[in-house]
Amino acid sequence: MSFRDTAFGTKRLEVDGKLIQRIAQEDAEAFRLLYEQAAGSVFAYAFSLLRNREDAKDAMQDTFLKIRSAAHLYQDQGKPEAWILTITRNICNMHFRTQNRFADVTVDELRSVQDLSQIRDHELRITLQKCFEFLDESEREVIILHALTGLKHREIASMMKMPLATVLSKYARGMKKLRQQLEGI
Amino acid sequence: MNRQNERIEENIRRSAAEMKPPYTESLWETRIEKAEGDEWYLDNTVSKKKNYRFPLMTLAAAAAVLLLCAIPYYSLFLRTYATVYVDLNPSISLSINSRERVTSVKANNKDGETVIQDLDLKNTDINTAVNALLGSLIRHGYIDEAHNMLLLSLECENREYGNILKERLSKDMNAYLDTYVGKGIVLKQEVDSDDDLEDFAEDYGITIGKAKLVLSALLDHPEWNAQELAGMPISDLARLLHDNGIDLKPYSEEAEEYLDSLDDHDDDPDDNDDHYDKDDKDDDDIPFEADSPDDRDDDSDDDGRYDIDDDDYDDDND
Repeated sequence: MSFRDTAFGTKRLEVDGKLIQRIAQEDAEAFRLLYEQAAGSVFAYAFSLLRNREDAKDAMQDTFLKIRSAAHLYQDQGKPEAWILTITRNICNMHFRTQNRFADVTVDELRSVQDLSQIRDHELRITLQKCFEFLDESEREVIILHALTGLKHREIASMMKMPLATVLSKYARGMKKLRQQLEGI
Repeated sequence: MNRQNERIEENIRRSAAEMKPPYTESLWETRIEKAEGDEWYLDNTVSKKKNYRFPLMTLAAAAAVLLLCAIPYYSLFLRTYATVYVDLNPSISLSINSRERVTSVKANNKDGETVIQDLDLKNTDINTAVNALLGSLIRHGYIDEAHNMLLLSLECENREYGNILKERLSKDMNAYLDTYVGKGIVLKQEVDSDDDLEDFAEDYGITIGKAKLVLSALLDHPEWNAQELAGMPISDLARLLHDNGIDLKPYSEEAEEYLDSLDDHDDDPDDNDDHYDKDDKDDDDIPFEADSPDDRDDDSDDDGRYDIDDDDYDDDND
């Protein structure tokens, strides 16, 4: 596969856990900083689960409100990213349970709600599009989590309540599909 | 392949950055209720722990004093300087100190327990311990002419020493096997522990050395079944990897030659061996489905297209 020759360097989600503790002390600046650090990843993760931009935006905003609600309960154990994205995951799961809106939709209908037009770069857009078209939900979730957060597969397995081997397998299988799909682009 | 994976991940990260909605003040101004800890959205998050600060600090101070006294003794006699992992189907881990004396022996599975049950390896030097281990493996029938391959993995922070020890042990092991079973092949590698390897090894009752080998095979062939690979004797596993184009030379030049010679032997139409063979389309023993047994039925949308014969075996290890 060929990619445009750009240097790697986009940072994975790195959240300063102290910001969450400062939010518990009603520090508005800390909240804004946390948003700057985490909002992109939270939105992308929610989007990968919900496959709809507006729903993902709602889930992202809900995540930050819940962070405010629960910041005083946060115990810094070095993994604030996992804490935040677990809240996002719970919110998205609740969204499915309450709306169940994708129960009977077809792939074509799904594609129609995936509005990726905001991503101007062709290569980035195609990569994400292939994620939606060719990966099953859990493969996509594992890859998105690994890409965005740098969480170890073991931590992703714990977060998704799956055996480690399953997560490793889903990652490898999903990546293989993507490599094949992106070949020549 | 790793570079391609990294590039895909990079694109996902950059997409996420482009999609980020702008911050709105309403997020801070919206009234919220303080959570109590049992809310649905906190499921699976770690709850707040009690503050044990004072007793912890006291204990830490006492421990520091003890440590200062014990460090020289610990470094010389107790500290694990290197760990030697041996896998066939039995899996055994031997920790050694800087004097190459065995400080602990661990069986990673039931077969391993059988092998070490009659052995007292603690405080013996590593060469003696490995020879005793091979003797026991032969006595218990785990090594014979058909199962004459084993995996030796070495973990040591001092790379130079680790490499020397690995070469020395593998040479001794080869000589021992050549003497007692006619021919022996030792696949060897260096390994670094990490959480993924340790968890995988523990889940499947193998050492982290075999876990590394299995996981690297799964990266090339995610359609394979992790549990079945982990449960295979090294001879069978090596044969499977060889038959599917995975180069074993980094582990042992001799292994490749040996397996090639078996391939020549397999061409004999009268041969009825039961090894895994890539070209044997009717072979039901190929361990498909990389998912763990706990999750075999959750891929309802899996189209079953993963087939060892239509796989492109992409060797894009750039």
